[in-house]
Amino acid sequence: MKKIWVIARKDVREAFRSRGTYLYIVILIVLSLTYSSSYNSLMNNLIRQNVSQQVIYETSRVFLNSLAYTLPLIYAFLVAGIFAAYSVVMDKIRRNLESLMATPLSLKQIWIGKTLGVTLPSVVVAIGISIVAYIVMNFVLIIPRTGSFILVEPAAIVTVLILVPLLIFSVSLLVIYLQLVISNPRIANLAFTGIFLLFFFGSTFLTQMGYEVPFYYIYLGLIVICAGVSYLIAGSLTRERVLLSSKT
Amino acid sequence: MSEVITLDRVSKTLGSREILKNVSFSVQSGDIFGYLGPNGAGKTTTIRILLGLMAPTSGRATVLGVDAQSEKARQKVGFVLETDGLYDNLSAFDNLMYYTRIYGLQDSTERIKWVIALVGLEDRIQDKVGSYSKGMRQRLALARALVHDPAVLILDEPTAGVDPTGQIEIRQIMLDRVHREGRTILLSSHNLDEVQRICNRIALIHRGEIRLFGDLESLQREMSRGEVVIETVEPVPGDILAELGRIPEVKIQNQHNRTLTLNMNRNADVSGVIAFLTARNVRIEQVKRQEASLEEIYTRIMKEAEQK
Repeated sequence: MKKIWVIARKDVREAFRSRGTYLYIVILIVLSLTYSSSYNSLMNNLIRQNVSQQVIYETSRVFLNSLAYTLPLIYAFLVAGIFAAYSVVMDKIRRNLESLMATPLSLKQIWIGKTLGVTLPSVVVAIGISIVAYIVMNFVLIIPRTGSFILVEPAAIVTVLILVPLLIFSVSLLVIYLQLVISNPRIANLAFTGIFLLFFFGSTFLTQMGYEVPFYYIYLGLIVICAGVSYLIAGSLTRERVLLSSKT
Repeated sequence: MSEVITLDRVSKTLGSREILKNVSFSVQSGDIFGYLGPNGAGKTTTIRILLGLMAPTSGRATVLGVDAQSEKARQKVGFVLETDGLYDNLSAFDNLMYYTRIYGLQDSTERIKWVIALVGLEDRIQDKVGSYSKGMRQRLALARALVHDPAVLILDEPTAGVDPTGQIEIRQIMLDRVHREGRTILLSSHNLDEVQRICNRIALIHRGEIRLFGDLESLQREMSRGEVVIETVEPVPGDILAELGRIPEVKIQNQHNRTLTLNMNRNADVSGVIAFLTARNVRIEQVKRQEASLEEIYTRIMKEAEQK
């Protein structure tokens, strides 16, 4: 376990020493503003319809709750894509992975270490930005309209603190595996996009079909699928396979 | 002497390509073993098998008596590969600290400082490796290979890209590890001069097959063309030369001033020639039996292999 942390810590350190990481975080913060404009247009519509203060409060609460469930996950997916690029893609391009595999580390230690190196900073950055975005939205948009600070529901907090990290970890396991074994590790990053789109369109489809599936069930389902697939493919990971796929 | 590295009929096939064909050799404790061959001969594949990066298709490779595929074997090996495997965004110190932690070393700061000083990078210890020259990176890669004090070093072109002074220093480090600390080195190199200077045993691989293997000095003697160089105080007079040339096992190659070069059978007795010359008042300063250089051996074996 100690050696897994050594790998993860190094990857996190290396990623945070790159300016690209900070630039990306700034982009994510700017992206948060788009949610503010969605909220504004929603409120303007309600005000035009002369709805009661109670409806405005309830709509704001639902809006913030759905953001609380999804925003950290969306950000975590986006940040994980960046950290995954440092974790394995650069290692493969520079052929550092070969040296790492020639040490007494097992391939599973490398795999899990690299996955943690992607998961931890992604989750911390995503939750951090989400909390800031949540507070700023409350003070700038919600309080002037509702007169009170709206807290998210406890289930959302639990989901963000437990299920989102687990989901990012299990998806990263798959992505890192793909990065390790395929010749063009950049393509593996598409798995992040693929799973994200699956989540997005899947939940939209379920809603349109009239099913009210709570977010935490969707997250749990994805965690089980990704972890299960990772478990099944773990046996096919060999040093030789990783090495030969590095010949780009 | 015990066997530190062994390859027993190791073959490796990738797709339809047979990269190694029944490769067998051993490296003894305290050897600096030169592993030679042209590009694509199978040197890197052999090294990868010894480092557990590839599994042999058949045969067995061991390091210190343990299967080369095991983590236990990798714990005892230090390596320099074709690519240095260093992290550009980290300092030299952090790069080595990373590897010492992987090797499970505790309180390694002093060891890191010592090994960085050994390769002459103490002034740049906190600089990011991305700012290093190729030669400096090679030195740091060697430092990484030594940082956990391994019993065996597997070095693939460790002096590539290093300036001549650096090459001498790296060679000295290798010799010190072996002679002072009793370590064993397998050195893969294209630099024949370097191999001749520091290696005691060699193997030569061509198209996946070992063409030559053994003690370098013995090979040089065995493969010499029987050239004997005699330096005299005065040039040997023509009539004595003509008489010398009539001895059946002696062929006069040439005489430049006071240097007489003869071609003799490898097993022929040189003392007979010395006795012949001294009997005719030729004063001899030095007699040398010319051994084949590694370059000659390499060229000859490669030529023979190409003709097969």
